[in-house]
Amino acid sequence: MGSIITKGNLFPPALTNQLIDTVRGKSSLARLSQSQPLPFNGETEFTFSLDSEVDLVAENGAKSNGGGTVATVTMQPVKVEYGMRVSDEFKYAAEEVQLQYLQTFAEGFAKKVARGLDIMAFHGVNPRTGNTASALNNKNFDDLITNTVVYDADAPQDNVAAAVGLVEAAEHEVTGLAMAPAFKSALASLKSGSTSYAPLFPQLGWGAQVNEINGLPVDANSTVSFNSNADRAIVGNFADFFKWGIARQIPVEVIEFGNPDNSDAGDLKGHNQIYLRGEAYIGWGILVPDAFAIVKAGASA
Amino acid sequence: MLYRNVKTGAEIETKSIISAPNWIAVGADAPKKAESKAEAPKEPETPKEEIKEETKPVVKKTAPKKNVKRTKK
Repeated sequence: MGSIITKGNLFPPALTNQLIDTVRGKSSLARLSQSQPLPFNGETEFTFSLDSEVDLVAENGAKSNGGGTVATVTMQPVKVEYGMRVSDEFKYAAEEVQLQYLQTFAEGFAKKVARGLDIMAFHGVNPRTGNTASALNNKNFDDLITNTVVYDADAPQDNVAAAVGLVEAAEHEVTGLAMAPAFKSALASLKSGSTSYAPLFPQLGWGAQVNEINGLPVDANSTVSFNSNADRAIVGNFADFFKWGIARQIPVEVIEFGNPDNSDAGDLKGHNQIYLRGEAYIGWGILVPDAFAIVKAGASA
Repeated sequence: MLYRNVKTGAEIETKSIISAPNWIAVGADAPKKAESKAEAPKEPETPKEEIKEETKPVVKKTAPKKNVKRTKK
């Protein structure tokens, strides 16, 4: 009929010039420990401990050797990279509406690096493939930490207490707890009594992000149980005995030629494409493995 | 369950299962003090050297019997 004019699909949605950043990722290790400047060639940290207690010596008594141990931990930076192909048409269209895709890519890359630090330092695997990386052997928590508590979904608070006990028995302080989402939800579902519905940790209710529980700094992150790993929580002295740093961070690079991702997509110029690349060199060191304990699912006693 | 570090003597009372070097489960029901007292006198009562000395002569006794049988044939 045409007597009533309706909106229908006549009006396209307005275009916003802001990209919604849906890149997810953070580093529990970065939150629980301090970063430090790291030389590109790596850095060697010395650990020094005295093996015994002071000796009570009688008058004219003979003294004995107390002994000491000096060890080294090398923080060797490793290279991490993220890149993606973009068509020339996307680049021109984005520039015309001032779409901040480069800035968004850089921010997303930073989150991926943060997450990558956790995955590599916790498990010693390549974050993209999930495969064990030989360069990370004996440089990750899974390889180095021998204090293990078997995860019990019904009593996660007991798991934490036992893990803390192992660390403190080695005369170390506990400064943080990194936990997997499953461990956090197990804590959140605990009740304060057998007949009570009141949660034992109300601050964890309904997915709330918490920074501490019972005064202990905590961080919940899927990196702890990345790639179906058995780790559920890692407890220890992150503040003093885990060190990490960025040796070099290369600004986001826009590559116009060649085949920078070694893919079947071929030459960039041959396909009117550009390649966005972020690259960084990061290193870390677990200085004293005894200062940490892991709560693991299915670990044998 | 009570866990004890065999090197340092540190103890942890927990319902969790611990798997760590030098840590052993001591007992499920016994209280800490009773266990430590009960285990203390055990150490001097089990001199390993004496046990070894007792077993050695038994082996020697069997050897001459074989020789006797051979002489009969």
